[in-house]
Amino acid sequence: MSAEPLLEVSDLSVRFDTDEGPLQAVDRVSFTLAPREVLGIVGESGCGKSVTCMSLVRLLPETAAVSGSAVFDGVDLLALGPRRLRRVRGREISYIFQEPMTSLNPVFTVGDQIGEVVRRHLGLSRRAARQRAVELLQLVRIPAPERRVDEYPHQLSGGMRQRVMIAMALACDPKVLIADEPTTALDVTIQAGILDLMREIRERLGTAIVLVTHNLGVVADIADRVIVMYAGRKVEEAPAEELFAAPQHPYTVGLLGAIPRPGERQERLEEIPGRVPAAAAPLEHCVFADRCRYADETTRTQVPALRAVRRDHLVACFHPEADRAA
Amino acid sequence: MSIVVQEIEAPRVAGRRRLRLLTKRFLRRPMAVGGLLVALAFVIVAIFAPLLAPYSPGHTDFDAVLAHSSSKHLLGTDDLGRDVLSRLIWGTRASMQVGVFATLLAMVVAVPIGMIAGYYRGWVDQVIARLTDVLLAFPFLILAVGLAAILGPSLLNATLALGIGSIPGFIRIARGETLALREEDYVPAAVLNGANDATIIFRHILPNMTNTLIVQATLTIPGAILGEAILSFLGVGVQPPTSSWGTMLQEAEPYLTQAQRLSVYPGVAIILAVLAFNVFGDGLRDVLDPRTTR
Repeated sequence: MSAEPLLEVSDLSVRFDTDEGPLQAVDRVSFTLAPREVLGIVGESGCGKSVTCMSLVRLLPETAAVSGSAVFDGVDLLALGPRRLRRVRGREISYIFQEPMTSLNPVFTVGDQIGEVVRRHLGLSRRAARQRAVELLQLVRIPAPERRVDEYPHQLSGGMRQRVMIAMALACDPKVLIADEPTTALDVTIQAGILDLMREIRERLGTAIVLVTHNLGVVADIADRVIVMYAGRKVEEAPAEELFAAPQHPYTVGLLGAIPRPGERQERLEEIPGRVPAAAAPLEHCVFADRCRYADETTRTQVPALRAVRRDHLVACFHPEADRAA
Repeated sequence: MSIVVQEIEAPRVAGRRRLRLLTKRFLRRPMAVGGLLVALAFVIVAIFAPLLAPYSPGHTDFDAVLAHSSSKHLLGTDDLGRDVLSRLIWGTRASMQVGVFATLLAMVVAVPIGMIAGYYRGWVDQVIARLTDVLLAFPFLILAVGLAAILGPSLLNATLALGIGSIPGFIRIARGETLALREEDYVPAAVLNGANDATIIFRHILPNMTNTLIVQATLTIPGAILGEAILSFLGVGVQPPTSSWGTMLQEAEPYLTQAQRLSVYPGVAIILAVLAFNVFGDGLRDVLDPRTTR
């Protein structure tokens, strides 16, 4: 991306002090986010994608030790004081959770909850806030917004609630929207609607989106660029189309192999043997070595550095597909 | 596409419908309904005491001292010729005042403290929890009698003493509820929308525990009513000639052998009031408990 990045994350590491000892959740991850860009972060459960995003908005518990930097609009989010942090949260950077069923407060109407955000950040009056809530519900394509604005969360379906969460996140026209598995708890038809909505938001409002998911279909659908994470590390980064056309890391290849394809008869989907390792400290070898079919002496003793196999296509592997083809 | 196991939603019903459902459940509990009616009757009597009482509570009729029930004095008179019914009605006012205001006082003081302990946890919680334990170590009545003795006898001080005595229970409840509610997903959602701690505690958590607080309040009121009677009986509560159920009992004590009715009437009033609030509170708790299906 040639444009000046909106968000620049460098060497982000997160370590948890748990009762069973330390746990390295994220290990020196760097990435940038350009204005209007949709960045997908994929990986299986426990690979650190949610933790990465939560550390950006400082939502991690105190047991987490975060290092590195995340520069947004000239300031390091990881070093922000509580007062300024509150001004960024919901105003500049918004966050959508995985669970729309429980992320809305059951005792307030939808309009009150959206209104609270704009009254806090934009200082709108009660009436103006309600008006804004109706507009936002319209923006996220909720039918009959004038009526819905006075309803309580339990009167809405899961998909509608996620739309309300998105409306709330967009209330102050943020520059960045972080969506942590926004469609995981919804069924497939609703998922498609939410993804359409997010695409539309990017087009109409120019919001940059960080989309965390374990679903490669979702990423293929709307992401411009994709980061593949594995065991807390970034193992591959590429423009979305290129990633699907020419995956480099054996892990990415494995993930793509595990997607069922319509029209193709397959007895069994491919799988990646083994499990994601949980490390107490940064591993001094390739994190994927235990599960990789190309693993050799080098992979077990050295950390592969990220290198560009093509323009904008980075991979952390000693044996990327590109080398094998050559 | 991955297969998504959708979480089964707990059966929650919409606002007005929920109220109707709760009403229906409540009406299915005759004891609770009876409790509510009796409690309401006491409250109404307390509010309209001046209109309902046939005589002023201090009015003495020396032609009828220790008189039996008659058309002039429905429940008879006491040793100073005062109308027992009138004194009972005015006494209702004192008892209800103490019950309600002591409970409100305890709530206003204890709920923020308990919520702060539950929300911040850590050393704040430790300090508050230990202090609460210290207060809880004293039996409620001993604490209230001690405080009333220190503050001096009056209706206001009895209210203060009983209110303070009820604080630790409310702190515990507010703390426990906050501990549970702060883990709800809407709390981090509010954090990420830029809410500060005060907004989260009072706007997002507090409204979600009103049910519990209401139930605790209806169970604290009878405690305070009984407490008032005991304090007044012991002479550290309401002072004669002001009428309260406790002072009436105290004044009736020397006449236990000659005019038992003087003790019976306020005694019955106390029993009825305490029982009514307790039964109502119990029923309310059952009805508001989400595990109740009936």
